[in-house]
Amino acid sequence: MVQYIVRRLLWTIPVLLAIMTATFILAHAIPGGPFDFRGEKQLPESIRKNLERKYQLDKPVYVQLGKWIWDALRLDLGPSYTTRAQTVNDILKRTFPISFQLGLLALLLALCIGIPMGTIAAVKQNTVVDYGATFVAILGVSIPNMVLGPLLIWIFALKLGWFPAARWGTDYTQLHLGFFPPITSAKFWLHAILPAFTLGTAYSASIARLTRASLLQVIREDYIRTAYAKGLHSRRVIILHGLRNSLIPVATVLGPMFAAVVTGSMVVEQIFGIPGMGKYFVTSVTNRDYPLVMGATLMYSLLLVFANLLVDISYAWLDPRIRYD
Amino acid sequence: MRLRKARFKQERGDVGRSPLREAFHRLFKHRAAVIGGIYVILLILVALFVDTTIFAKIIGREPRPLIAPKHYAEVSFFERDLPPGTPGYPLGSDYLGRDILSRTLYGTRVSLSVAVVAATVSLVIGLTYGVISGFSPTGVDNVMMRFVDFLYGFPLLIFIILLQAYFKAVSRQGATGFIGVMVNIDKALGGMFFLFVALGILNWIGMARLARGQTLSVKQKEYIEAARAVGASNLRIVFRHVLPNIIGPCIVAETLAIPGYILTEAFLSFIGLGVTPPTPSWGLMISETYQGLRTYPWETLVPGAALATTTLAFNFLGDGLRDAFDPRLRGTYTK
Repeated sequence: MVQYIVRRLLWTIPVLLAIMTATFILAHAIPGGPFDFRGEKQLPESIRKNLERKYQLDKPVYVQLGKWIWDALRLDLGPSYTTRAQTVNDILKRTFPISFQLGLLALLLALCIGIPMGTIAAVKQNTVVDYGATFVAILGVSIPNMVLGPLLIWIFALKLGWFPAARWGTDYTQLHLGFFPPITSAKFWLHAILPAFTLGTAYSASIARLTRASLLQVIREDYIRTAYAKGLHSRRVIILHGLRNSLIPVATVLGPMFAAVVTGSMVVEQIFGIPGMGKYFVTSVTNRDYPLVMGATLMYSLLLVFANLLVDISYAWLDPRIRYD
Repeated sequence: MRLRKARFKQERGDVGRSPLREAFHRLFKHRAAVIGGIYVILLILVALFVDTTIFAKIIGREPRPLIAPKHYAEVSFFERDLPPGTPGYPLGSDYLGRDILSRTLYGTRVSLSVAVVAATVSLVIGLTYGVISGFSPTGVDNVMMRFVDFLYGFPLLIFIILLQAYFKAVSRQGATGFIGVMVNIDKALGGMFFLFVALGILNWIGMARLARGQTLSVKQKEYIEAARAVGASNLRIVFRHVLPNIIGPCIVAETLAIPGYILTEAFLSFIGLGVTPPTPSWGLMISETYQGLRTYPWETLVPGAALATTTLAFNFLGDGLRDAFDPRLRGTYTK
């Protein structure tokens, strides 16, 4: 097991290197540099040259890439060209935990809704409950974030006034800058429920469909019949014997899903005015803020890589037949 | 005697139906899929006839709105932000006084074009790659699949964003040669062409995996062996025996991927890297108006409803197709 994890971790090194190289080349290939302002803000040629020399943008791309990798290995992601008071490290330290918290909440919500819904639909296969759950699931998959977000704001924040529509983190971010949501703060929940729900709905729906499909297959296995024959309570059979094995396909999609949740939060962050990482990524691309592009991409890629690793490890726990030797 | 006759009749009835007809029979029994299919056909009609582009191109005149009451970029400075039901603006007008109904109707064009073209591009690339990989010797197959696994670890959305930023900057700057031709096509299509390219280039990976798996399983079948025995060439085997047998599941999978393309287009337009304004895209319309939600909710909710119903219809249709063409896979769709 340890050997397997080490091997997987070693495999991530070339993957990360390739991702970062591709990002670097693509970002630099976009015409226009970070200091090519137009109109009134246009800089004199000499100042632009000096600025580019200061950030070593006049060197060949491979030298810049090498320098970036060397700095990144020492956990220094460089300066940000647009917000010069902050380095990329500062910006990511401030914004990444917010995106992470939001993604984590959305995914937990998706699991808490999706798995029970799928289980109930599978147990009551081909009944009204099943059809209803399937319909709700397709509906949930189909409603995009950018539609659900404004809709929820309109109903729950503007018409009913139950939740705030924006102003995330105005009261508590200074206190809670950890990776885990400040679950004891009531204000946090007031702010978090709508965005987490917006982000999580689509995923809860697809988790529900997956759970239903794989549980339906598992229920027909012999060992489930054996468990019933032993006289076990049906709830115990379904939850302990059936569900655990049917969660393997669910675990498979959780890895990419978590990465997609955090990237997908770009829209939700913008709609709900959440100061997360998504907005910075988009603006940094349009501003040619290369170090910030690289830093944000690195965070996303690390997240993707580790989420996939966690998924692979969780297989072994879910299905003891799987061995990584 | 009568019993045997009845059974004979029944067996003959079964024989008379081809698998394809059987599948369509199952599809038409799937009520949600039929509704979704009708909605998709309506959308296609709207996209084709929202204005007279098709006839205008043939006769050589300026296109005029046909289904849509107005042109999508028709600005009326004194009729801004009107609520739905105002005479002349059935679903209201937006912050520039443009008719929301017309813009939403025109928006089907972008969404459907992206859906169709991105799906075709990714189907063609993925199928080619997958079949070649599945048909190659083990060594080549391994290398090709390692490459796919490798790409699987890439954060694709980020690369789509970067590619779009690249295309946008190139088309703003102007270019010559091959890229110049692409830029001109893109301008003529209101910024859609590069969306097709970016989405198509990056979404063939799943299709390649599926096509390879299908090819591998078909490759073992007796009829391939028979074809080989009578001396059919590899090319003939691929086109006559392998492709027809694997195309069904691949098309079904691609239909299920279409809502994803539509949502990605909406997402890119939302963050300002999609179509070029004033080309109406639902994502762009939402991003332009969601901040005025408190006062003018219809400006966001109308295109939102269009977007949601379209993805819903495609999901229903894809679900029905999958159930019809491959009953074994029932309910195993993953997002």
